[in-house]
Amino acid sequence: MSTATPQPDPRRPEPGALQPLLPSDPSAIAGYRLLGRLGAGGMGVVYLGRTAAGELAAVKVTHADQADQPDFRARFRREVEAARRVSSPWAVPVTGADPDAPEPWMATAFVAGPSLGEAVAAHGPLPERSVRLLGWSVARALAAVHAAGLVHRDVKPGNVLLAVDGPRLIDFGIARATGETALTATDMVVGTPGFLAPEQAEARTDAIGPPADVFALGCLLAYAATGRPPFGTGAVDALMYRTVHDEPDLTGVPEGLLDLVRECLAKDPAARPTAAEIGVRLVEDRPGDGAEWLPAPVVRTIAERSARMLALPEIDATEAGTGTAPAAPPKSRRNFLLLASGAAVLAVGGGAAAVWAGLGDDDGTDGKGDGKKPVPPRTQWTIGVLADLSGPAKEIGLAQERGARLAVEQFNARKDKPFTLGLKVVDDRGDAPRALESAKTLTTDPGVLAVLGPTTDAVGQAVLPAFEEAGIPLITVSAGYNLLTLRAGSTPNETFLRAIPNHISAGTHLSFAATLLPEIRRPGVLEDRTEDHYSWQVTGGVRFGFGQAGIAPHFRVVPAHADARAYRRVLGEMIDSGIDAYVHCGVTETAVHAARALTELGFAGPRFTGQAVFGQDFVKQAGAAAEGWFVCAPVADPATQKTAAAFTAAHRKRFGTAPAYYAGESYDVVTMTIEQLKAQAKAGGKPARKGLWAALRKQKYTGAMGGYHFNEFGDLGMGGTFVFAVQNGAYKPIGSAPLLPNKPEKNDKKA
Amino acid sequence: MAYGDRRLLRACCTVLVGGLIATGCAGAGDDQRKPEGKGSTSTTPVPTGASTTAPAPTPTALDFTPDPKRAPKTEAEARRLALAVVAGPDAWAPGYVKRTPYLSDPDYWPVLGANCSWETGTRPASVLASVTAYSEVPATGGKGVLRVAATVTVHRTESDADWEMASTLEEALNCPDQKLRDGERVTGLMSLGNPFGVGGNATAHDALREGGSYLNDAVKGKQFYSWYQSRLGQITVATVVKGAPGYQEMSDATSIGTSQAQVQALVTMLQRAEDQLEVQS
Repeated sequence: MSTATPQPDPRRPEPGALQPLLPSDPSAIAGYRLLGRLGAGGMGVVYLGRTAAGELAAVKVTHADQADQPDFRARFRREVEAARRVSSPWAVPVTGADPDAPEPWMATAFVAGPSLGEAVAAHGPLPERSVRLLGWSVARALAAVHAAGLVHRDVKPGNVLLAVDGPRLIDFGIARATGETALTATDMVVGTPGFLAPEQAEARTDAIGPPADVFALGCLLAYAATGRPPFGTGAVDALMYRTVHDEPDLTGVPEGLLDLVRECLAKDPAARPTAAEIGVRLVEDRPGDGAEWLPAPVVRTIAERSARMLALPEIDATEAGTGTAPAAPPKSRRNFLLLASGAAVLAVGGGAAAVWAGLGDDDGTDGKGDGKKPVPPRTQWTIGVLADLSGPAKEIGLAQERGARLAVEQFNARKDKPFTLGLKVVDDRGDAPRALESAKTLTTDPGVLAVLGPTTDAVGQAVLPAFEEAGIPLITVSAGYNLLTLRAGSTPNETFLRAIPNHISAGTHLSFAATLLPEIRRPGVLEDRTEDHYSWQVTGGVRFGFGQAGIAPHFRVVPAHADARAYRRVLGEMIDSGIDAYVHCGVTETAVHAARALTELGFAGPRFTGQAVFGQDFVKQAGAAAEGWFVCAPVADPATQKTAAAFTAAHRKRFGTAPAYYAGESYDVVTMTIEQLKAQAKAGGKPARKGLWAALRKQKYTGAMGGYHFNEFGDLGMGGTFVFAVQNGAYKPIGSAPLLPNKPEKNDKKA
Repeated sequence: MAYGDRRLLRACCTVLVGGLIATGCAGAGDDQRKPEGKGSTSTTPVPTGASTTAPAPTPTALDFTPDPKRAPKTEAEARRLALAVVAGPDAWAPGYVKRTPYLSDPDYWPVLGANCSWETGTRPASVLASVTAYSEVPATGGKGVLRVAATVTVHRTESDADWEMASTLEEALNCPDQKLRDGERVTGLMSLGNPFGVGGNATAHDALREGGSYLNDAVKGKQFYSWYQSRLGQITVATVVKGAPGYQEMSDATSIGTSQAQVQALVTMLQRAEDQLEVQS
């Protein structure tokens, strides 16, 4: 191909040029209803599709004959897997795929904006600040691609789409053969030769790695800043020759970008900076605050494109998210689009309003009659909930969802509210390996300001990088794993806020509570490895706490999922060694074994356990053997909190039942977050993610369930462990665990 | 492989440090513990599921398919396997050489006594074979003698090996200070387990690290002590480093830490064990 100027990728003509489906096309693929064709080539077809939730997607379908080529499916599968690991707000996420279908397909989120190529062709070079922001975002996206073990290999103006809140990199590493270059794949991948690295131009397959993408990024930035590719245009072979042998023409690249671009264009791949380094060097600016990252004419193009999408067929009122119905304003297609383009409309004022008004007649689809008037331009700000609503911890997750829902509804019901909030609930099913995928619904939604969740530690570990990358505060009332707030390297936590003690603190509190029973001298502490990360942290805390009291416990460690017989044996040995109390650092399954074994063995001492066991399953399964156990939980019983009366009444009214454990704390932290957003709005700003974590961390908040303040790491400041005793098959609240140990006056010498 | 190793190592250290910070324990930063090569305090065969709970997302299962026909069933088979797997000086790094004696006695099985002293014990019936190979870096250029060892223990069943991992974790909890032998002690021990998929463990069904300080009457000052142990099916492998003057455990900008060779030796043994046990294609 010998293009004179970079052309828009033929696979993605502008949405206005959406082609109708052909009679031979299917009407749906998997869960995607197909709306039209975005492009076609020898390898397959790209459709515009829509999910049941109303979200648009680009669905690429590979022709069966292509798919039957040797290794194609295995490679496709591998690359889809890898692409799913790419998590960046600046990379378009893979939302679905089936490598095993007769015609393998893959879907990615659809971005309506024009490509960088189209924008520069239509409006000329971008100003320096836009180029810097572009470079920062694309570098971040590439860093994520590289971190997932992929090489994009086709970074070019046609593969960078411009959205209101920043650019999006598309097409990363998908179904591209090993060794295949943009030149050899003439059908689907029509690269623009001016954006290939020397090692790609020479098809030195072995040498093509992440630095090739960095070279392309250098070309991209030069192009964005000058409107010209740095190695010129013209015949492909001449272009290739210049790429390999000549210095780039960087005339017109702003001074502040020159060094960086030149380094990216080093002939030697090893001499180029990494994508992550580029991200750091361009870090002083970042997009995200509305549309001002781009010049007004480009923004207008984006707004028009977004608006035109309203004319697409078959648009119903649907819900977003995979979970349950959102609160307050039902999320219609309209809201979805507003979300994408609202800020742009605000920014361009009258012109875009006219676009919206003109669309009114075509848009009777959600049947509210508001098509008569121009749609008030407004952004849908949203509070997210990421919770286990159907997995092992659904008892806790459902309570949290209710607490959050109540908080958002109460806010929306206020007459003086400065804005309206949506609620977007995502069920992670407690499934850590797939949680990152579920969480993308939240992390790729620019309207989401903060998220309550997750319910479990494992999901927290899985999704945290995506929230960090997106800059969305994640506020938990149940995930106590210490490394969710603690960071290994130099980057401090600025994402995760924990309104409960971490497991180590909880273990310490538990041991302090145990020291209130003055006769304890030799507690037996059992570490159950079923959920090892939880148990070692609680055990560590317990060890430290007893140490503070001058008490030396007797420790045992038991492999994961050990059975009742193993517990009888180990507990028998512990009793023989003289323990006078038992502390179970483990999960419900094994606590039930332990409770029964202790009863059978006639052990008379007190029994303690922690958060992982706190729930109805333990009392149901252990039955009489659970009686008398002390269970330390990170949440209080609303019935014991005078300040929770109004919350409890509202919960009853809304849901017909008293709040379950964890609902009150969830209500509190969501209300706390809303208060902070209100304060932002009052101070003249818009509600925004930026600065939200830091503001929340610094404040002291008193809610229905008590007070919350946080330390510099984002952990709950102090206390927060509540002791319950199992009595008659129910949890009876005893009180807060003490903050200091009660030291036995006469310590045994035994250690 | 190398990448995975580094991750394993970093994650182990990260998590251990995390625990130290959060519990306010003093003495973070220096390390390690027990006579090189060791048995365990208890091994009663109890059936248990494999430790499959994996809080971390990434891989879902270890890429290892054992061939039941290749699993050692007799002491002789187990000893042959252990000798084939155990890491000699070459598996550590250049500069490591054999110590004399090089291999442990077939009946060597130290146990941690009630007084937190390591004593001579009897190999339990659930252990088919255990071999320890001793290596060192001789004293050079102002550096002391760096003593290391690698141990392979072949259990009758996977469950037995699982219980050995648990009892190793118990040792540091119950005896943070241990006497290895006259003139040698380890203090301030902390231990941490990482089942597959957790804490960066991508190489074994289960892994643990124990760290503390090493004190040798013949050497001035406190040195680090580091014990890594991993389980693959019915086999456990372990590497231990007793620090010496002039060495550091972790690598930094100016020098390479001993942990690199230690992980290398550990992972080499895991790889050899896989080769010995896996279905041959």
